[in-house]
Amino acid sequence: MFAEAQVVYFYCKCNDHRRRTFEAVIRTLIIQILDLSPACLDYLYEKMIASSERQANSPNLLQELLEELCTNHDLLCMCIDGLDECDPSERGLILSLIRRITKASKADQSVRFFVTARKENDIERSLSSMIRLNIKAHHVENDIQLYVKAQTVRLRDRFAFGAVKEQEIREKLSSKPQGKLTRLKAAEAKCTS
Amino acid sequence: MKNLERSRDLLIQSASIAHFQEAQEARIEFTKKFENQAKREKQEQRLAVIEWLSADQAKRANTDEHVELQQRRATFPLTTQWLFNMGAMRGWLREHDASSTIFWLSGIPGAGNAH
Repeated sequence: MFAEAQVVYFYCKCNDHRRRTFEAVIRTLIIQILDLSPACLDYLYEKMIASSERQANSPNLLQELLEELCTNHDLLCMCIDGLDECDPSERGLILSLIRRITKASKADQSVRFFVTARKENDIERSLSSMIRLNIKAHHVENDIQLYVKAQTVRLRDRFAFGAVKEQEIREKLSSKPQGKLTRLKAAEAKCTS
Repeated sequence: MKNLERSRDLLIQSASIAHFQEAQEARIEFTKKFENQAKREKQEQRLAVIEWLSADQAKRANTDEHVELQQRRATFPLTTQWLFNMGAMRGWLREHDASSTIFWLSGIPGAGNAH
């Protein structure tokens, strides 16, 4: 199963300059691959010695490094969370990189990408052959109930209320989310205020 | 006379064993030193590469987020199982004949995509 693969990841964040650029994604993924596979060090060190750049700043060089590491790696899963949080121009570069690596590792399917992002036209256009799953309210219903149950117990212990109140809060919280954890958290904050 | 000869042989044998042990210890010591030196060099190379890639800030921010999510996942270990039970995900996880190597999980903001 591909579940045995090594995993590297990047969490994009629009309000954090360290986490919303193409370069940040590449640099972080390269370092993680190096951490997972120390054998990559020889290749990276050779490239560093051969490079004229005091620091690896050229996007082409960074891209070349990541592509080379990926295509020579056994089963690698690359997760990019919140791709929509990057600016469209940066997102375009990241999507292009995903396409290139996918193409290069096509024969043995050794590299997989798991991307989470809101629906954006450029992502749809760019990754037309991907598997896509749109999260619906019914998918996360059970997760929300588990969360509500745990949080209600936490609130009961904190405010020492009885079973009736606990049930009331549980129902109130359960009726709010409609598939959205953020709504649930807002309702929870209201209950505790 | 014979006793003397036997003693001499024993002495030579003991000396050979001691010499062999000494040589072996020296070899082990040398190997250890060589390995430590190689290890130090690799460590220096690794630090130089990390510095060259200047990924420190992004890596730290990324790791902080990951640790936070792991803690949340540990509190609610039974959540997100639905995703791994879906045919689309099982198809993507197949080692050789995945229908696509890219999986896009999309959802409304706040749906818990990151979890």
